[in-house]
Amino acid sequence: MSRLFAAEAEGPDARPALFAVVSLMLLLLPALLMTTAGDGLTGLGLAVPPGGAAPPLPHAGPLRALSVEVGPEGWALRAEVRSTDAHSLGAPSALREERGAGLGPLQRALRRLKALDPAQTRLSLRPDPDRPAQAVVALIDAVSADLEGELFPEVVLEAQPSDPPAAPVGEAAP
Amino acid sequence: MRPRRLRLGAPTVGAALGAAALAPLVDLLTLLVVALLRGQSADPPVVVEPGFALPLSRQERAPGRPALTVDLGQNGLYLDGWRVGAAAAALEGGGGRVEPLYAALLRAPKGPLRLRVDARVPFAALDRLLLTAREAGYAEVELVATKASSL
Repeated sequence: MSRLFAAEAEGPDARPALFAVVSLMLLLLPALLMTTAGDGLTGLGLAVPPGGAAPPLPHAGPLRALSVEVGPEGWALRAEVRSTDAHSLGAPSALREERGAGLGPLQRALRRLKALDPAQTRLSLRPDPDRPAQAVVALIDAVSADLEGELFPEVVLEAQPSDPPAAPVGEAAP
Repeated sequence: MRPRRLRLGAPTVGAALGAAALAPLVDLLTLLVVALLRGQSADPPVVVEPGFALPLSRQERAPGRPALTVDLGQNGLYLDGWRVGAAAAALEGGGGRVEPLYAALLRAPKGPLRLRVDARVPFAALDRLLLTAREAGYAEVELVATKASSL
């Protein structure tokens, strides 16, 4: 028997489900905005030896130790480099010293030293006492990596010795 | 001309439009939530004192979970949010450890220590904080900065 008014097939009403999703999103958005921060944080690990403990063993590679002293007039880079020549076994390490100004030349000098000993990751950084924390963090960033990759990410922050660094005079011979 | 049929119980034109308009709204809100989740940090906002600003860094390593947090602003020195002294205790005077912080750290549990210092604080004060942490027996210290890429 045919019906007088044929009903067209219709799907279920999607509006209640959509309203539920919209309500959930409207709750999620303010919750996210209130519980999170727009500024992402990063952590700069500082190598701090425990008080009273023995200092770490010297690095076994050619680049024994590396320190950067930064003053108001520039930086002074000191590297203790051991010769890889078999005839010089047991000989004392040579001290290389380089001076300059600006982060770019410092990164280039560090890159040259990194090429000598890619396994060395530790560097002592001695900023001047009046340098603000922002500038110290910029220094840590600069010595940790450059555009080519990692440099010396294990940074030990140290106070400068009492005598201030001399003015930059370019590259000094060891 | 074909006569228009009226059906009982059928959704009206306005209702059909409402359902169609909700779908793009859901899409938009989903995109907003995803963008917020990607761009926001799960760390709570750093509120130490008015005007406090962390240094900016290019590094991307997420900070670890600290046992304690030491904050040094322009006015105060705080341990886990509790004021332990004036900032002058670290900012002024010569070298040596910061005594109020040292006394508080000795009583606190040992573990990773997180340092949050104002970007304008001089290195001499930061160095004194590091010395204090070292003498109090904290070997793992992390300096917190704001990711430059997140700004």
